[in-house]
Amino acid sequence: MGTMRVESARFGTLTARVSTGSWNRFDLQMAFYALALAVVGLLMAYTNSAGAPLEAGSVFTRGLMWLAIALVVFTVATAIDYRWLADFAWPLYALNLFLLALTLVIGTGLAGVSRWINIFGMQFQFSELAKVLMAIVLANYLAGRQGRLKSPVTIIGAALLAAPPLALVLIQPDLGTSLVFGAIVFGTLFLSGASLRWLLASAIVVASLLPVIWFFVLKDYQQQRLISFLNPSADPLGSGYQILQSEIAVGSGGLLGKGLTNGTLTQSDYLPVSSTDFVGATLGEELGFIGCVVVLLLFAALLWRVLLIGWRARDPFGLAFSGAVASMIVFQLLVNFGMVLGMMPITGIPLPFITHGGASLISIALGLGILQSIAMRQGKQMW
Amino acid sequence: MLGRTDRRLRLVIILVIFAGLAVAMVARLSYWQLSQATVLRDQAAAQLTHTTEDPALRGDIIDRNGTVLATTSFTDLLAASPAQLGQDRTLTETLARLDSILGEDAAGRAALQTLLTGTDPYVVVAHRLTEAQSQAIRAAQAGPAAGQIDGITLEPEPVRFYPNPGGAPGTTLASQLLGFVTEDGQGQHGIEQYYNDLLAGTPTKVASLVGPGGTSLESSQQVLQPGRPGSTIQLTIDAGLQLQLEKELYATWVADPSSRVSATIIDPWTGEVLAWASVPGYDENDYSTVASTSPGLFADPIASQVYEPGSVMKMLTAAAALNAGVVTLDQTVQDSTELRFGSDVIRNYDDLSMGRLPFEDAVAYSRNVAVAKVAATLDKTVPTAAARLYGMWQQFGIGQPTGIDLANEAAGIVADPATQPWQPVDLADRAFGQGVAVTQVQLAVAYAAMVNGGMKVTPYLVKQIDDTPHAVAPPTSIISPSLAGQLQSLLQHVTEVVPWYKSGTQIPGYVVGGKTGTAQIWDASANAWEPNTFNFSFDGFVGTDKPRAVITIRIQDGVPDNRGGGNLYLAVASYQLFRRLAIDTMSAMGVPPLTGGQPPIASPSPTPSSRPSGGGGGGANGGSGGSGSGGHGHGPSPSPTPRPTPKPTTSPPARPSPDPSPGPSAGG
Repeated sequence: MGTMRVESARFGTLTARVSTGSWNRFDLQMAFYALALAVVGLLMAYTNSAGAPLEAGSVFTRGLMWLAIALVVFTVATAIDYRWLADFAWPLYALNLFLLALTLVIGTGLAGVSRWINIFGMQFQFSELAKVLMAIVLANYLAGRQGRLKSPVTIIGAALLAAPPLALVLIQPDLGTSLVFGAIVFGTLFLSGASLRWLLASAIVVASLLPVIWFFVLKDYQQQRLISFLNPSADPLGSGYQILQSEIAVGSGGLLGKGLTNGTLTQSDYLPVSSTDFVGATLGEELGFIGCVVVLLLFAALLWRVLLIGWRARDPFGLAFSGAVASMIVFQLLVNFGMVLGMMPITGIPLPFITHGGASLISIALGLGILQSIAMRQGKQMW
Repeated sequence: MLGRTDRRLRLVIILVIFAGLAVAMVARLSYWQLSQATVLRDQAAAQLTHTTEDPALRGDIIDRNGTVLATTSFTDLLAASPAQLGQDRTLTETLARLDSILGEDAAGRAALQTLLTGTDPYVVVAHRLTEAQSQAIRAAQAGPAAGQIDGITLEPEPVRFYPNPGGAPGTTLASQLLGFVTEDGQGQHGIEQYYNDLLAGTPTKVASLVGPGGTSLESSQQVLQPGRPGSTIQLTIDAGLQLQLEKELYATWVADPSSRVSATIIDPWTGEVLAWASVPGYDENDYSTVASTSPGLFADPIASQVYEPGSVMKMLTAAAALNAGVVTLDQTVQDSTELRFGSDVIRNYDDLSMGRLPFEDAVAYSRNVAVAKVAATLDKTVPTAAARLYGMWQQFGIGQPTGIDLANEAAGIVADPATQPWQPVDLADRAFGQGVAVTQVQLAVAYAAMVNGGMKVTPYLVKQIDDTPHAVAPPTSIISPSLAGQLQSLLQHVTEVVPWYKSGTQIPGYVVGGKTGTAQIWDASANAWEPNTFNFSFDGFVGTDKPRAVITIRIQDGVPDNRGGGNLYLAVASYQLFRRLAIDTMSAMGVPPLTGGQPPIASPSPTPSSRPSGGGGGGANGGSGGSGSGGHGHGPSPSPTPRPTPKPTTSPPARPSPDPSPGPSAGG
């Protein structure tokens, strides 16, 4: 791998790389489910636009713009031969670290945290992009360790690979996103075929570190938030407030919901962050039980298609990458929606597609685009 | 190379984990959105909707001619935002300025500092600023040093205002009758309490959606209840007469040692109350001070306090006796010095006997023994006689609320012989008004029936509510017109035949009649009659061609100058006060005196043929025709005696001379 001969061939074959692959193998189903979820996200952006969705700069118009960009990213990622990524894995990794470090330096956020970087007046959260970039690097790494997957070194290597970006995110501080990183690493290792025994052992190590993290890393407010879901009534106006309000909002939606923009609780700001972390509450209140179940079914279908692509991939990169994307989606869905439903602690993890946020949507589009690229290019094997 | 089987297993595991968690989430969704939806929907509605009440402007109270007796004006309330004060770092300056404007003492300054040092967005610093304080604050806010008094606002605050001074210094007009309104808008006592709902109106209720910070979203406001301003209540009271009444009562209260002096003036035909007062009153505009110093002043005794009225009740005994046919007005009855019931003794106020005398004179001279004897003849047995007297009381409304539109009307304390058998001494006592407790307004209704042809009226104070005349129960006939005529002529007889009453009550050109009462006061705690302390009453009427007003008077806990022989001297006797009030009333009602050619009130009863010679000791003028009763087992000597020349020093010279010619002293 990586010989001079291959290097010199790269530029000359750019056109060929873009055009390779069979569009017949384009996974229409996956694209449809993803688009449907993105449309639900747009609906949520519409309803969260404070009554003026068509005004410039509203949540909805920004959502439309992000969707357009995401479609472009998706198309480009689909068109480009994913095998090219292997060559760019390390530069991408470096870029990833650079962007995360930059966020720490010039990033903005609420209450002293550094999460977003303003680009042309738009806030962009590079930690979202970091998930997909890390998935590429990780998949590339695991693809290179075929035959040694069962070794504990594989797990240690993956952990070392993920540690720098994870640390950079953790000190923003953004606990939720760091957890997603961990989930991606763990899920990818699991699906790629890492040793179950060593995975279990490392899980135990991480679990034994939890008390240390709890007492020495987490700040008081983080601790409160994390356990408040167990008994929200204990502090209904404080740490339990968000969960109780979420329950009232979702529950009052009933079977059919109150209709778009009619979610009285989420619309009247009773429920903070009802367009971002707690967008699920808006969904539940306005679209009801039916709406929530439809969204869950769309996620299930999308997950099935993502895993199917990995299953059909003839190269380990494809499998590992699909595992990473699937882990990311599953983990975020379960943690975010579980949080809205009071079953999980409160963490700032976005609901893929639905939570308003350009970085999240573009990152998923990038991931899914790469998956499409994988689906379309199973004729030849690179590794 | 990766094992296909292992790969498939791991994919399935991921899918199963996902499916399991998804099912758990759907279960949770079902519980919230299907099972608990109604409950949670109610919770959502409850927390979203915020109802605010905008109180209506309280209605005015005006007199029968439109004079405003109570109104609502606005003063400023001083509010502050400690949160803002803190932020602007102007706390110290603002405190200093407010201190000087509000004139706080050291304690007030400390309280102010505590109040303003918090983090509340809104606190009320002071209610009811004076005009000067408001202006000073406005000037400070507008002035060049405006920044020094930031974070405070003035807000209009409704304040109940009673514009008319009363008849006594430091009081407002009709204070006990009107009552007052607390800072939270609740009427207390009197009209303000009884008609509170009408006066207060209905607040405008506005529901709006509120955000979590408690700020209501104006766009979502929805009027739940439009609200209605408070009604204007027009009283039957004549403010001019009320003022006169209060002045007369105050003069009497000053002249006579007594706890209070009360009077009512009503129209006997309709039950309208023309004036109603009790002295001492209070300043309704400063009710909070009164509340802390002498809250007893708030209560209106006329309708809410019962007392043993004494001889004014002889008119009820007369009604029962005349009705039963056991006596006629000019039929002679036997007086004696005393009447014994075992250990109980009943005597006349002068401890003397007038011998045989016409029944009307026995009533006029307030002979306890003679009237008690007549009461004993009401029927064959004491129980049936008692039933007759009690039945007559019932008809006149004695012992029952009159239904006047005032809060806390008392019923009285009246023993029903059917359930609490009367002993012979009880019958005798109650025949002259001891052992029975009534309210002054009950006496007004009873006396009105005696002079209006036998109709029982419902006394009332409210003439009109907004533009709607106030409906009261129509008068009901309780005794025959002929009996009423006899009673009316008996009242006239009292003030014509007894020299000191005649000289003290008669008004040229007007017809008057009435009956006095001088009642001992039972001190339950001491288990004895209060020494030399009496309730002096006079209940009577004044008119020309017909009775025009019934006036009841009570000089409460009066301490007379006991001049011996039953002469209980008061500088202003009850019947003398009656004449002043009668003159005031006729003047206020615009009733001109009868000229020579006009017929006075037709006297329905025959002129009494015999007059007492005065040998019985009734010769002296003055002396409330009172009665002291031998209480059960006490047998105290009734003390009132006629007094010689009561020349009230407060009597204005313009009045007809009450100067009586002194007769032989009682007991001579």
